[in-house]
Amino acid sequence: MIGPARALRRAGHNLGRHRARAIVLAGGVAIGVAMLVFLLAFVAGTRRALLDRVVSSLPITHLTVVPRSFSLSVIKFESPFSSLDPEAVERIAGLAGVEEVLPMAALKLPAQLRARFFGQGFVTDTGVFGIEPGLVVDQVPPEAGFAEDTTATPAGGPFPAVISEDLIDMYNTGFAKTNDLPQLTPEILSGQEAILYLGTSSFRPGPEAGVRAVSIRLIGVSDRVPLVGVSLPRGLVEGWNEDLAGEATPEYVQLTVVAERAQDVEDVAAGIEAMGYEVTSGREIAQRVRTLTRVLQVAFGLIGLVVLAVAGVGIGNALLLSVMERRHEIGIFRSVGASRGDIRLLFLCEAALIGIGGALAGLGLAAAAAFGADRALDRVLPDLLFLPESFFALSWPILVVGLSLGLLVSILAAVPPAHRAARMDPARILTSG
Amino acid sequence: MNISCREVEKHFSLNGRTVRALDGVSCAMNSGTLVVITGRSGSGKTTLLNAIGGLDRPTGGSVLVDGEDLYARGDRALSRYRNERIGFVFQSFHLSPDETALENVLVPFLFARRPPSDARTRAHDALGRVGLAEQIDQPAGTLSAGQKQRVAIARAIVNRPDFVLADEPTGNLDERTGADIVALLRGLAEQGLGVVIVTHDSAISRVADQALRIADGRIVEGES
Repeated sequence: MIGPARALRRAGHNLGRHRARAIVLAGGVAIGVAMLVFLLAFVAGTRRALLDRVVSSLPITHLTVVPRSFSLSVIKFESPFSSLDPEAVERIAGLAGVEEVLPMAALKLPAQLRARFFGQGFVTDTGVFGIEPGLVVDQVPPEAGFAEDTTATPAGGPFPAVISEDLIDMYNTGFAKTNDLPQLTPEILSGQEAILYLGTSSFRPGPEAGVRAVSIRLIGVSDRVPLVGVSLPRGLVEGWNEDLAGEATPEYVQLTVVAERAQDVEDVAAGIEAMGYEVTSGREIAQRVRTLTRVLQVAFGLIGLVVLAVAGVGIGNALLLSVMERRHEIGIFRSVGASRGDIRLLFLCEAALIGIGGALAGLGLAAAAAFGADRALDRVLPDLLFLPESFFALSWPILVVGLSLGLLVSILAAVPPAHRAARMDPARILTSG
Repeated sequence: MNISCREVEKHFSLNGRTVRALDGVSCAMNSGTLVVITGRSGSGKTTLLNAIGGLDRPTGGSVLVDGEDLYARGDRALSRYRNERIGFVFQSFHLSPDETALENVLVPFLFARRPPSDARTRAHDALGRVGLAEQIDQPAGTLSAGQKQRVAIARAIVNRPDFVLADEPTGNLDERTGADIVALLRGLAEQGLGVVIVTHDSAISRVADQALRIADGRIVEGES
């Protein structure tokens, strides 16, 4: 009776004797495993990048609240019964589980930004938003003074301002490229000053009474501020709304509600929705990302499995051929004491070794392909700030899945030929010459 | 060890008609004797040898080994019988040509219940006994026909069986080499092994302790 250890040794010996065939078979497994692992690692890496992005822009304890709206194709109507004013802020802040509410105001007037970058003048219409320092406190340098009281600052500024990270990406990949301008980075932008003209826009050219010019200084970038516009301390924007637009009671465009704990998020969201507002949570977005990537993972996993199954059919056919070629060896083994089970075990061990060898090579191939793809994407894709370091997550579970499936498919493919070898009649084989 | 056949039958179907390869064969053989079974091609001698060796289950009758019915055992026990008590030698040698003489001789230990710690020494001894001490590391494919048959005999005796069953061991050899191989098998019988040779060459019967002739699946001479 041959034990598993002896069977594996003998199987290794047999594969060594038929090295070329073993390499071809293991190559098939390697390609299947490499494809499976590469695709799964790509989906996992993309999910990780997306989730990092979601968690960064909307942490898991944060909720975004906006007035309820009705959408008719491209036209969106806000409900007049769900405006976000200080009273609404107070009601939401009073909900159980709410740590703080960070309102965001928008300047009620048009505004224009004039700046000089790299020696060139630059004019654009812009939105102006007033945000709570707490929204970006972990993303801008504390010494920049965003959280400080701006009432002490002269009326003309300069006032601290934050712009969207995505805006820089859009500028770098679009405007800068078409106008042959240098790329911007948060470091280059930090400290840049610009003039903000409040109460004017490209649609109302020429000097106009009531236009106020203030100076702003960029202190950083954030992925939590509106895309098109500059964000300044909220008190400042509310003051301008009162002075220049006559808004007595502030009305906010959005609230960021911070829950005390992650497990409070769902209850807080339900409470706010009951008040008639629309709520988006980081957890909800993360869940959507997870669901989407899971679907992709299953789809890509199936593609990899199909390739592996094809490799398995190849192994099965090659082993079947090998059984016929080695029938005399099988006959001799039976005559010197091999049972049917021993013969079966020998062929399964050969397949297992092919599977393990092929799967390990496949993991190496996948890692190399992922490295190469990262390098290629790095060259092809624009230098976006939110791009991850790697699009692939070659995690242990994925590697284990690849190795296990490579092994399993090889063994399953070997079952019919191993069974056939075990059922061969040694007396007929050995007397057939 | 004693092997007895009692009314052994082996019938099989070929192209819709029943072929009686063995048709009620009875015989007995003991360790320490050289038994030669002769007969024409297709007479049933190889079938009888395979039945004695636990390689081919008869369709009727019984093969008794020391009084016990060999085929009352399952596949695993039959395999153990072939591994521990029987050594086969075939006309076509059935060696792995790309493996050395030593590797070929070591094959029975692969399936031994407990391979002896001195397996390699035993293999060296077996090859020495058949006169191939110098060719131990030579690939079997590069040996002459006579040397190949000696390797096959070494493989048959390496696990110290009670019987060596040789099927046409001289069939692929020239006359002189064939005579050497028969002498070698005769020597094994004199050392206490049971040796059964099946052959169409009736001249070999001259060295036998017991000669049987088989025709149409029946023992026609020397029946015991």
